[in-house]
Amino acid sequence: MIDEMRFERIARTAAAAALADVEATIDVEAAWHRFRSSADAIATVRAAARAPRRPARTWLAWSAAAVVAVGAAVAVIGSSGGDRRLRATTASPGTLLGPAGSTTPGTGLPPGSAAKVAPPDQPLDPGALLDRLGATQLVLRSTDQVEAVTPSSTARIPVPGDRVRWVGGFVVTETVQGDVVSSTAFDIRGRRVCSADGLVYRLRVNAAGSGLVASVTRPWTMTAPIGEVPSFAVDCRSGNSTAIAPAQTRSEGGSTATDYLGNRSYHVAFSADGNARITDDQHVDVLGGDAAVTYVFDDRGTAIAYGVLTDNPQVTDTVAVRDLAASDIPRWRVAVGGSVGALWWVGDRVVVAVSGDLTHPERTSRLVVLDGSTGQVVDAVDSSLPVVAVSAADPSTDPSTTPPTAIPGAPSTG
Amino acid sequence: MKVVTTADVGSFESLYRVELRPITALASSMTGSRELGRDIAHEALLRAYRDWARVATLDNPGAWVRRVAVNLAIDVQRRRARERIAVARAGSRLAAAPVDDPLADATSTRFWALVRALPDQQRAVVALRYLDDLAVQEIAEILAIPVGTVKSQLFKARHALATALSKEPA
Repeated sequence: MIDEMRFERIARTAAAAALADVEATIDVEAAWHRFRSSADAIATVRAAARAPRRPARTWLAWSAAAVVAVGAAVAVIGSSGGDRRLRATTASPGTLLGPAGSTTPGTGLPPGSAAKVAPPDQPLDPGALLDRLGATQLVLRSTDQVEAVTPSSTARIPVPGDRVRWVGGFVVTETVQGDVVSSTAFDIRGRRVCSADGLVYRLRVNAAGSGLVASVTRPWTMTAPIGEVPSFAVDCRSGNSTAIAPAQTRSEGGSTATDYLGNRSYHVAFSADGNARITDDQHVDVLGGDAAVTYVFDDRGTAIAYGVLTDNPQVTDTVAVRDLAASDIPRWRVAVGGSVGALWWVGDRVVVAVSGDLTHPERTSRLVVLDGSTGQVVDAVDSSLPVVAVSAADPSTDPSTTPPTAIPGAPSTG
Repeated sequence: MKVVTTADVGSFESLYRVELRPITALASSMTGSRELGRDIAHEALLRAYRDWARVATLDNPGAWVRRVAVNLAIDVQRRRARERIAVARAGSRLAAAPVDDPLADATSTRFWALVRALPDQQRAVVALRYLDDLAVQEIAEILAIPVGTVKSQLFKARHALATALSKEPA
């Protein structure tokens, strides 16, 4: 098979040829004049169609004009425009607008693993899966809802929009109306805790401890501009919003974002292919020169787990963990036997959603549990349940009683 | 209907002049027909013109037009596929009639022919990636699909194209 560089050359050449063809064959000036004529004719016809009824003789003239104008201008009809494909996304806690994972064929579990694989003919229900993963919170996606499972409760949250993310312990659904995204956050018990226009990238307790504040980027439209994307702190109770330091910048070659973890911040640079390079606030590369296909910080802010970018810009089968304080050498790096779809920290362990299907990373076929310290496989569960998030945080903790975490640049709105 | 003012026309004209060629290239490459590509670009821009009061307020009207064009191209391809099946069932040899290809270079021609054989979403992703040189996130926003899906579709498309390009043309 041709290598990646050669493929890129062929693709770029083909693109240049296509562009050169239209360059040579389209006279923009003439096209514009033709366009104006046909557009004006159609506008006239449409206006006439909405006008009060006219005498029959005049209608004949209008009808003739309509046939000519529409026939000349509208050669293509029947668009499926606005087609929104409903998909679950697997976002990682602690990530800011980060890309979802991707896939590649695996090379087998690490040597010496003590994996226990559930027989395929005994599918686990969500409660059993929660137990098996040693987790206390599990969020699963189905067609039109998510199921938020704890050892003592199961909440079903309707998903009116097409996207679901897990943001710091909250289920955030995103709805696209026209070109604008609005977000609604729910706690693990399915209670709606916040609604805001824009894309929520962080939820925290306000300074007074009396309610939640959402950090959002806004406008988050289908076609956000290049440059800094404005960020706002939205008081979830009152809906009041205050401008804060922009957390994301978009550029032609990708985007940059800032992740806040306790009192530390991490600068994340996404390439055009969506892969991340991450430096801390001291400009230290916390990935030790690697790039991450997908990544997640642990709950304590001491380590990062990530899918290691290898030869292919989109996929990986390798997971690594590095200490944030000593990132030169990774704690470990292992191949997980399939394509890495998403990662979560569950206490001191890393759960990896693995897909055996190269072309459908969202189709998780196995959840591999790795020891966060050694990379040894602790467990492996065959499961096709669409996991949005898994966590070992204490679900009995009311978010409103959680000590607030300061966000640099974010004013108190409580 | 919103009356299009002179000022509106001025701003739309700028968009038209900038986007006509790239959107035509996008649609032509996706459909394999220069004429269809022109029609699709025209229709997409016409929709922007008719709804300019709203489209003009978007941060990037060009991306909006791209999405319309991609959807139109996919729709046309699907319709043509259905027509080919219908014609084939009727026993006509017209089903194998080639479309006019906008490209002269053999490798480029073959590349786009292979792209057109990809599933809808992959075809759109590849066209936006290479013709418009867009980042994964931008493609995700135009197609209204998750970034991860764009990445996986791009990977799958590249893999399929590289495999096919490695083989001698039939």
